[in-house]
Order: sequence, then C-alpha cells, then structure tokens
Amino acid sequence: MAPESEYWNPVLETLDPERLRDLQLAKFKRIFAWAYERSRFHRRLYDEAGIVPADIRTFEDIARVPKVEKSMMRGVQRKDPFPYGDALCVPLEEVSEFRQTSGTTGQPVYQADTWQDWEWWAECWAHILWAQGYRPSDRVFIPFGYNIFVAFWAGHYAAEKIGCEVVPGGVLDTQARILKIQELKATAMMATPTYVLGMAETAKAKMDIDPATLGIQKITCAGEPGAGIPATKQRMESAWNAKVYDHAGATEIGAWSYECRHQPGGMHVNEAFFLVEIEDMDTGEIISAPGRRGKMVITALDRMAQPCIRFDSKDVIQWDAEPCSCGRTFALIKGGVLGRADDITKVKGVLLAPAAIEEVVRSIEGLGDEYEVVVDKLGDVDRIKLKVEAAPGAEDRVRELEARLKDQLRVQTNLGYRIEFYDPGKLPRYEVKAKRFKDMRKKKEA
Amino acid sequence: MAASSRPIHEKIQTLKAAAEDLAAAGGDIPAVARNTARILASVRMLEMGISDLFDLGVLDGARADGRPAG
Repeated sequence: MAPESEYWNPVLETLDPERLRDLQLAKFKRIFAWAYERSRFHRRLYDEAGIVPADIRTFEDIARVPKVEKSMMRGVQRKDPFPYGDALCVPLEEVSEFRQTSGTTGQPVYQADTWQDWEWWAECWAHILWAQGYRPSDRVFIPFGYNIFVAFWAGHYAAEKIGCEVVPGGVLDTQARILKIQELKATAMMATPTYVLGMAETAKAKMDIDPATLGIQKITCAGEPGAGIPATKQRMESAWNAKVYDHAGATEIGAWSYECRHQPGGMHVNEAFFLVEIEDMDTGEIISAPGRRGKMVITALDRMAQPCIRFDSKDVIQWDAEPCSCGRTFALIKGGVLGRADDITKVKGVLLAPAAIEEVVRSIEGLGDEYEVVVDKLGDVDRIKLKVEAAPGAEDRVRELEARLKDQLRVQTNLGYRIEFYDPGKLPRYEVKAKRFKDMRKKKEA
Repeated sequence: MAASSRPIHEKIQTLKAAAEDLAAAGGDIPAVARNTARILASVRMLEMGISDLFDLGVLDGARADGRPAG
C-alpha cells in the first residue's frame, strides 16, 4: 500500500464528474430495482406513485421516485419480519447487525445491516479517515459507549481496515479515558463536539492536565453540528492543539460526507456511494446551483438490507461553487450541514437557525463553552433568553461580554435576547449530544 | 487512472469466482461457508471501488442513460 496516496481510492475520488453522474444513475437504477423487487414497503410506495424500475432512464427521472420519511419507517417496523417490518430486502437470517436511531425526534427507527452492509459502513468510513490523514502509524482512541447507536462503530472498523491501531475507550469514565490517551500516546480520536469540549474541560478543571499536551493530532467529530461551526471548531482545535474534522452521517443513511484535511470550509459528499439531491424547502424543486440552501434528499446507492432511497433527511445544505484543493471531484457542501429543517424556527416572526447562536457564543473569548437557549411566550409575544457562562477568570467582564453578545446576536440573528450569566460549571453538561435549544412554546402547544 | 484499472477489475472478478467456487465446494463446512461469505463481502467492496465502473458500463460501453460513451 502507498501511505503517501492522498486518496483511499483515487479511481473513485478523482473520477471525472460526468462519469461520476453515470455511476450514480446506474447505481440508482440498480438499488431502486432491488428494493422494488424485494421490499413490500417500497413496492407499495412505488405502485401508489405509478413508478416502476423501467421508468428510471435519465437523471431527471430520479426526482419522480417518492421520498421516504422517517415516520414511514416507524410505521412499518415492530412487525414481521420482526423487528424490521416489510422494508427489509433480505431474509432475516442474513441480518448480522442491529442498530437504532437515537430517538431525539420520536420513536427510534431500527436499522438492519447484513455483513456486506457492515463492510460497506467501514469502507465509507475508510474514505473519511484516509482523507483526514489517518494512516497505519496512528493509534486511534475511540471514547464512545459501543452500544446500540451506530455512532463510531464503523469508525473503529475503518481505522482497523486502514491499518491503524485502535484503542476502544468504552466503559471508562472521562477521566480514565484522558489518562489512557496520555498513557498510550494516542495520536487520533473520534467523538462528538460536545464530548471533545467536555473532555478538555474535565482535563483542565479536574485533572490539571492541558489537553493540548496529550499528543492528539487529529479529531474526527460526528453526531451533532459543531465541527462545521467555525468558532466551535476553533475552540476544539485550540483546546487539543489538533486538527478537527467534521463528518455527517446517520443511522438510516450511512457515512455520506466528510471534511478532508485541506479543510475547505465544507464537506465532500461521497458521490460514488451516495446520491445527494437538494430540494427547495418551499417549491420542492431540485436545486443544482451552488449557494442556494435546501433540504437534503439522499440515496445510499449500495446499502442492501434496509435500503435508503430518496430519504428526506431534513438536513439543510448547499452546494459549493468551488472545487477543493485536495483534488477530489466529490462535490463539496459549503459550510457542512447548516442546520435541520425542523430546527429552524420563527421567533418574533424572524427565522432562526440555532447554529447561528452557537457561532456567536463560541466566537467570543471570555465566554464558556456551554450555553442554553430558551424560547417561550408571554401572552402572544415570543421571548428568547440565552444563558451563558463566563469563562474562568472572566467573571469581572460580564457587562462587557453581555454588550458584545447582544450586539453580535442582533447582527447574526436579527433578534434581541435576554442574557443570563452563570458561574463557570453551572449550566448543564452533556455526555454525548447536547440539547441546548429549548422551545417551551412547542411543549405548551403539545 | 479509472480507465487503466481494468487489469485490477479483472483480478477482482477472478477472486470472486474463486471464492464462489470455494463456497460451493465447502459449503457444508461452517468454517468454510462463513469465512467465504466474509471474503465475498470484502470482494464486494473491491467491486464497489473498481469493478462497478466496468460492470455498470461507466468506463466503456453505453452510458447509463443510453447516450453514447464520450
């Protein structure tokens, strides 16, 4: 193997765009026909829409295929073939892996994978890790629970596939994990942004260890926004003295996008394995022009047991006009995943994406990493409150910090906020994924 | 690079055929059957990486939408 190769698979990663589109169309036809023949759920969906495999001749025909929503998967599951229901395309005895979604948006969705699908997960992640500079000389520490959520399972197997040494950091608590990283001189790590910052805080505040001295050179983040928010990325990189790379994936989709080590301000879509369409959130029109935000509809072109075909992900993305200096022909989504269509809400008549608040909070030196946003109503009037912590040593700068916060929030979100300051360590801490945006209006309406 | 990977594609297909023969010959032996199944899953990854470009006509032959190959 050539460790000096920039690409895990240069044949695919530098394939000319026209050939890439040909590959996507051919693969879409194949997976559509596979699901049509083998899944009663997909057959019903497509029969109702009056579409059959022979109808898919050109790229434009793909948009005629009905989308799948997460709620539809919830509806067919917990039935025979148990527990996956009739979206399963293989005999139950060929399923070797069970995972489920986190359940943050409702009842968890179960995901079946065959051993081939599981190898596919590792292959997708191998593209990611190689692009982020992981090499056989790396000792990779993975501090996650190795449980029913897909999380970093495939990252573990991909790191092995690449030839890295993998240290599974499950079961250990945060302090034990930090000590193990120190003891073994791990060079790379994978975690959610919340946990990356949380580990850094624990190391500094409870162990008198500067995480920047631990020798971690690269960190792959996934599971929640953060590594794609510049101020959060900068805080993580500064805390660990490491490069931090973003990745977006999902249990029901796969590992579809990643930031490469050139850090182009966005993420590559693995277009050889996934077909990404961007849909205008108002008109439903497919957007091909760069710079226009829309909702991602995605197909995993090679996932066989429980296919993902034109899945309405609710992720908001936009194409980047510029190619990446890494030389990959895989298209970039500018800024990564910009938010979720179901997170974007109106407050006082103004559209608000929670990620914009995070960017402001984390760009202000003197504020702690944690924050919380609470939206409620007084009578008919929306109110929005931001809770923040002063960083240790900045407690006497609260008035100055509050003024800067209000100013920048007004510019970035066009809203006025009530600001509440808390002492360091007083706001909730999250172990894995954070829930910092609380809309009390929805709870009341429910 | 894509077009010059035909020799690799051909070797992948040779490997696949050998693994399928092995599965057929030793399928009554669980150790052979299960290990061969894993080999074939790995071969499928090689196909996704190289052979699909040839098998799906992306690199030679007709385009997927029926237009002539450029």
